[in-house]
Amino acid sequence: MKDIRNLSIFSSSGDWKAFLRTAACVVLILFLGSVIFILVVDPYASIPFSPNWERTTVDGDQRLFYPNLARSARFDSAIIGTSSGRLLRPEGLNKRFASQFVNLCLNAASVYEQEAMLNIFLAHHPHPRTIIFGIDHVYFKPEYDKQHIGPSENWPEWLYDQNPLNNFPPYRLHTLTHAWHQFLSMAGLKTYKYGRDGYTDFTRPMDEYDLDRARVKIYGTQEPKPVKAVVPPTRMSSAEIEAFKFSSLAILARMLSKLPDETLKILVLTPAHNFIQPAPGSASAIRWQEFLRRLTELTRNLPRGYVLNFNIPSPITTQDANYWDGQHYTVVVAAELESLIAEGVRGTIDNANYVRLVANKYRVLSPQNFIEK
Amino acid sequence: MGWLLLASLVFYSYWDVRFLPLLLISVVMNWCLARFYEAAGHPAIPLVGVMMNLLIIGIFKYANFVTENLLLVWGSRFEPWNIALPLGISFFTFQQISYLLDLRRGQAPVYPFGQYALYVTFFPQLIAGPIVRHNELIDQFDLSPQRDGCAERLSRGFILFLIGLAKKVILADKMAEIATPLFSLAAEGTHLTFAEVWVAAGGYALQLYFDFSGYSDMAIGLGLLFGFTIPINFNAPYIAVSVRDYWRRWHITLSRFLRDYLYIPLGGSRFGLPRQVFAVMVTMGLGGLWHGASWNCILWGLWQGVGLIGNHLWQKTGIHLPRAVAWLMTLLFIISGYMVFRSETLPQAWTMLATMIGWHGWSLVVNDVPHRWHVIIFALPALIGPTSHELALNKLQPRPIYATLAAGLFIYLIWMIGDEGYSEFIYFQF
Repeated sequence: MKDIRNLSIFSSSGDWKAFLRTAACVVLILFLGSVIFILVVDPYASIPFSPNWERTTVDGDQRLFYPNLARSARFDSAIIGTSSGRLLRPEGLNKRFASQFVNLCLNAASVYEQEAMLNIFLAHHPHPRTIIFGIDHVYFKPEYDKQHIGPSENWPEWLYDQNPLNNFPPYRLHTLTHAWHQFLSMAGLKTYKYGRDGYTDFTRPMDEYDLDRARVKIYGTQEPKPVKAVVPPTRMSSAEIEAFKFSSLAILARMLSKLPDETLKILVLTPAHNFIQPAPGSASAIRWQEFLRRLTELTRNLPRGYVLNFNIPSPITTQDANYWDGQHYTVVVAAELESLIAEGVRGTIDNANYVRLVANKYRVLSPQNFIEK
Repeated sequence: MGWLLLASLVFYSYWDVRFLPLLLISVVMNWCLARFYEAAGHPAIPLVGVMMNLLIIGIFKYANFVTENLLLVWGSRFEPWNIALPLGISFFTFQQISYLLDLRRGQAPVYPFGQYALYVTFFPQLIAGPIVRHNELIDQFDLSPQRDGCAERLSRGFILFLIGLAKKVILADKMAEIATPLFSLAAEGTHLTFAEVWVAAGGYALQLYFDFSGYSDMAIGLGLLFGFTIPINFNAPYIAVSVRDYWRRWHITLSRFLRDYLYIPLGGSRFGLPRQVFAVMVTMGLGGLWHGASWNCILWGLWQGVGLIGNHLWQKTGIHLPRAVAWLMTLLFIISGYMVFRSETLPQAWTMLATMIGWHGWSLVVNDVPHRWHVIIFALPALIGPTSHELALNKLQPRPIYATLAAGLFIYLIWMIGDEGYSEFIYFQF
């Protein structure tokens, strides 16, 4: 190796100065060029002074793209939740509720993140017509109580804090890639599969459905297993039950308190497969019942509020073929849920196996109040 | 020099400011001992300093390990103390030990405090080496960075830094994405297939090399930007044709340290084979312990010792293996050592090693490992490519096309670093 302490022997220093100048110029050009590209294309529609072009969702990272949907004037109603609510189609609900829904459910969303999304929606739609909350295990499982209360690791708080001064995307490869896709979309050179109303079927096509694979996801093996009741049933003192902590319910209460009285509020306890529901007689069943009790208490006097519990043993949740895994039902079930939710709210549902109203048992005297304007 | 010292301390504090006092105390203590030795001349003084350095590193790095094992012999269980490991402690402690021992040998002067402090804390090499000797760096502090050849040093330093960064951000991190999940599965008790263990082994060998040598390249490149030459630390170790050759190419500055301050003082090869075996095994066992406070690391070090002795005995026979065979045997030996080094427990290491030699079957199935073929593709630069220092310091010519490509790579790496920690929520695998 050369002695590099005093290098000037191989080439004239002028060559190396030109080398450095070239490198510095190219770095500067690429840096400024990429920054300007991001600022103009504005992939997440977050920059206040970018051109007012229509931007769409061009990537599966919902946390970055959905704030734009939440701000859109095209909608007056929203679905808030996790992936267990993602398959509810706005177009399947719009007519039933005379609303224009946007599905703002985020994969693995913590309750904190769900509230942040709702906050953006409310900031631009102070009087929403209908809000559907998808309530699942992140609300009541003890391990989620801490983990899912705060934001996830990659949560883009800058997009949700409603501070326009920090709405500049981070300077990174993903932002550039998203800007490039957004540019292609705006130029009409490429279309993306993500729906303009937030709905995306994230599951595989049903003709690729494999029951054996689904059973492995549900049971851990291809052989179905029965739900095993705990015998003798777990017993807990009332003090122990009282000590259960559901931090998510405090956030839910806060979310509900932000909604005007006239807004229709539908809390849907989404249907997990029966095998992963709390087993009868187990400690988690006691916790689940306590969760339902407190939820009922919370929503007892909620104006225009409905709680529909699908998370029960039912023809939906006991059929393996309805599920991709323990938490995620198929699009067929999703379509059925849309109709059941509407029927449940109307109070005309006749299949009590599917839906139980755990609070607010008022029948709606005149469905036309909200189904037909 | 003052600014550079300040920048180094700020750099260290940026990682974890809690350990800045320890670094400062360590530097001041060692320098004061050197001054004291200069004044008093008692040969025990540097040794006291060495002991104090070992005590510091012992407390922070080995207290839990030693106590746990002592209590295990006693039959008691041990709840580990919550001791955070100060960043770079293994490096700055060893540099100072080498200085004190050189001082005692009469091979080092007492430097002014500023120079000494900068030598220990010089930020490019503070965190992950190379382990630089005092006389390799301190003399250069007086040189002006703007002296003749400045533009060339800046250019070559930038390119070497860039290669190191690319090794880390592109190659090492991609290999980690392959190796880490497989080792985690094995740690959880999952039996990997024959092919999966080999993918894990190859991936980890490349991850370790690109990661560590990448850091060294960055350190040497950064040093050049300031006008300093720092010794190279890696020289294509995976083309080594013997274990001895490997240790002349892998973490060269550590090998040099172990040779000069452990192996030779322990007798080296001067007193016959039994003494040499003893010296090698103690040196490599302690070398293993330096890498981490675990039996896996010690065992890995001893495994290297066995390899070095075997190498020595084989050389005595005078039989020459074909180069390709020697290379393959060396590589297999090194990789098998990594399995012990990387595994979380010894049983995990045995299971993986047994699977590697077909003990649990010859299944070529590799489940859920995306981009597994990258292991073969990424092996090419490690096996046949020129080394980064050869590329940056010898082969590089001042052509505009290289400057343009380097600038493009630099910006791309900045984008990639921006992505670090970012990942989409991809958790559906229906």
